[in-house]
Amino acid sequence: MSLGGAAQPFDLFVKDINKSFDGQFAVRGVSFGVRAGQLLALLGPSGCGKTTVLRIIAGLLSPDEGDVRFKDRSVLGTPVHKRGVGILFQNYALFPHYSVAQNVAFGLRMRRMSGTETASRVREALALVRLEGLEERMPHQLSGGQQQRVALARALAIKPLILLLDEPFAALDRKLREAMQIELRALQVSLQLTTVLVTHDQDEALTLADEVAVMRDGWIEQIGSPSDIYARPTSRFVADFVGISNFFMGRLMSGVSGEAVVDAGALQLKPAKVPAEFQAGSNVTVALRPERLQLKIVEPASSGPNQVRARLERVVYRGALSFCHLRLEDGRPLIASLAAGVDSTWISELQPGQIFNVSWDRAANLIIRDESASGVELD
Amino acid sequence: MQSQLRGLSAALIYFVALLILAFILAPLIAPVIIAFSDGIIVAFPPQRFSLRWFTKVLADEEFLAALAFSARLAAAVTVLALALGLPCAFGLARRRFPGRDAMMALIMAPLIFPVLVTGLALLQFFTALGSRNTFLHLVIGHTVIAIPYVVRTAAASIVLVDEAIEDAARTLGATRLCTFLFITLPQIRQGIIAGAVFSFVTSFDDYSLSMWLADAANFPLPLQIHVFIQRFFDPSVAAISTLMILFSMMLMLLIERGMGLSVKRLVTT
Repeated sequence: MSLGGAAQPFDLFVKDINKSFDGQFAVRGVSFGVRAGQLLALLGPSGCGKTTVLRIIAGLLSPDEGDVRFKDRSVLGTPVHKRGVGILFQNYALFPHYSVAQNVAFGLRMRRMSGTETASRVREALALVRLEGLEERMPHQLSGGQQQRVALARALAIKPLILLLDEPFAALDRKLREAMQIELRALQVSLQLTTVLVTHDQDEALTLADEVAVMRDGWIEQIGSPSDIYARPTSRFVADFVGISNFFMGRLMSGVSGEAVVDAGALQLKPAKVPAEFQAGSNVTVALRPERLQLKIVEPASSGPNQVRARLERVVYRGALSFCHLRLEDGRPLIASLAAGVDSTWISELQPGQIFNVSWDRAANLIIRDESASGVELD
Repeated sequence: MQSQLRGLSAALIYFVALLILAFILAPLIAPVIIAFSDGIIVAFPPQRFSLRWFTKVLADEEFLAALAFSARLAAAVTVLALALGLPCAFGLARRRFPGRDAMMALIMAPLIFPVLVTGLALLQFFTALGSRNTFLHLVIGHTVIAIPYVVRTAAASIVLVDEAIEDAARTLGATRLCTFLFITLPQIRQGIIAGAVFSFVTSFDDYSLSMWLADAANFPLPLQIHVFIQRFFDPSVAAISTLMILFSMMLMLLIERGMGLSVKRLVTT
């Protein structure tokens, strides 16, 4: 990635950030750029360092090494109160002793803005989040959703260079969360706000982000568009953390016609393509998404690559999807999903104990990095 | 949070509460009544009532001098106890460091350590130093026994402040000082007021420490009252006691007004 290329400059660029606490690495070698008006999600389990990265961008923490650049200018020397970032905190962090209007006006007051201009900016910000008429309320008189809107209005009122969202929806119930996500995304797109979202919720990251960076143990495991991350995970961690995957370990072989085949015991996996980093003869892991698997009752079962016989153990009904937990003859588990609209006739006929022929197309085989299999620990 | 009490258990609790209240207040009522008596000796119950002992006390120069001295002393102690206690409360409430519990115990020690012994130790210490500034000795001594109250009440309110709120203020453009003044301070104000009032009262009320450290030129009110008791048998001492009770009640009202509901919060945390 080139820094601040003329065509599409990065509004925010984080370069080789390292940060440790008490000798323990919290963040190591993290780099990414966010282009103007885009939303990047830092996705990962708790303790992966995503919040530390956010606090470093805001200036609440300083990195041990590396650089943070806003519009190609380093801001490491700029103290937090002059960086001009807006943060939406998980618990909203409203000032409990100030009214809604005073909360929203706080950043403007600190900028010594005139009274009339402050008033109009407060009105404008509250209109954006559709909270007109609640100016005089105190935070404790508001619902969770309203408190979040106030926090958002407060962050937007200062016209931030960068908007940072720290698990902003975690405290909301599911319905409200989804509504707020859509609303926030619409606002972010219409205001062209360069935004970084921190979340442990894969759905949230996939729904909101233009780009997703999956973090693990302080580094970025994979960065890409939501569909890249889901459809083309490059590591076992990503394939496992984002969505559900079946994993098969095997040896990468050259088949008769020169095509690659992964020999995984009782089953043969023939991938559509093999990333260049994997060589023939090496042990590899193949990830298979449950929705790519097809179930058929076939007797006698045909044999060949990309199919296997499995016994149905149970069906987990999840509304739009039903998950079939199967077991191969050699005992390995396999999960396949059926969509309610497409496979509805099937779902009603499924019986535990049935033997199926499970098959999938070549493109479904994803050869991925797998530290647990190769024994090479990156730590 | 709290459920309504009903029936027998409620009656029992009210009864016990009244008993405790009576136990605490009954001894205080006697001097108040005697203070309003018209007689020249302490007699209970008094035959006739008047305000003559108040008039006498309030015109007594020794009393007024001791009162003024104690007020000055208590004010100095309050300022010093806040100046030392607040940063200490922040450190203890916000940071985790080795020896934190030991430090907390050390600061709280004057609450359980006999004040009489503390006073004697301080006297020997100041004598060994060759210091002769009695007012300073009293200020230091009283501050030692006042600080635990400041640290306790302030720390209790500091832990209630969400640090994310301060982070939010700073990202919105507030310097550390502005964040403290506009965001943190208003939220811990009640704890500080309570700590200040406790400090003031602790100093104003202290006898055991002053007994060792005071001299004729620096003579706090509690010592003066003791002198009065030895000197007179008339109800003027009762009048002084009544004035002091009145003063304490005013301070309690101040806390109550300044803190409102948060008195409850402070007590329950």
